[in-house]
Amino acid sequence: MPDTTSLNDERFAEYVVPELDVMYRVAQSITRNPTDAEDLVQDTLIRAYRAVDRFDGRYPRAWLLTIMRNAQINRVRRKRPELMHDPDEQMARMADDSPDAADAETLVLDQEFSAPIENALAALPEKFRLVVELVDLNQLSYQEAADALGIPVGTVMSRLHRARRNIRQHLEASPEEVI
Amino acid sequence: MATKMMSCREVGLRLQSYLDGELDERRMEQIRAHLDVCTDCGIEASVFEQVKADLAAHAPKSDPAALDRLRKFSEEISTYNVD
Ligand SMILES: [Zn+2]
Repeated sequence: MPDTTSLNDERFAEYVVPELDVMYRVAQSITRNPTDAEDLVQDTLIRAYRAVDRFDGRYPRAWLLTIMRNAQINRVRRKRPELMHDPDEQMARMADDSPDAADAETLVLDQEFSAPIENALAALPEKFRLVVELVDLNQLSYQEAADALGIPVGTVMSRLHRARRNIRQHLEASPEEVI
Repeated sequence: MATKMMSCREVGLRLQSYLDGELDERRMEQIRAHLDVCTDCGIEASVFEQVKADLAAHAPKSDPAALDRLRKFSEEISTYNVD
């Protein structure tokens, strides 16, 4: 039906396209790999397009991040079926599990710009680093981060707050730091 | 009823949420009032504000070429979805 298609296209353009940048940055945090991130966003876009006629128009970002999380779980299930016992644990672990997680370019950049704050971030356990990346680097709300990771808001808060205390200690321990 | 001053301990428990703007307006106001008069909590708040600012400054930029490809993919998405 041509009518339905154009209506869906309109809704998609209104709700989804403005969130592309956020989606891509979140996907990068989750996958730790630019190529996987792009694939994940494409996957998410296809799912969002299929579901956009049923979307009520409220909180498009939260809606998209939930779709992205489901898409990611599916991708991992295809790749690593044995890791599926705890989706949260698995979301956090799969990034550093994959040998191609950091491509050469990323590694070079990391070394070039390595600052105390980045060392502090890198020293965090994956679960904690992810929450900091979503909230402090990518400016998601607690609820949006919870949707992206499929964990309760309270868990986002406790991980984030603990991670920041940890980063602070890390910064205070490095003598060349500016704080 | 006059609002009672929040204790340092209560402020400490909510400081991070306060800095993220994730509290309701009444609590935000209570903490703001406390930080205005309490040096210790004020210092604590500015340290974490600095940590947050440093982290925000390290936000990764999206690769513009990848974003262009995704934008194009979005424009053509109805053609990928013929089922
Ligand atoms: Zn105080």
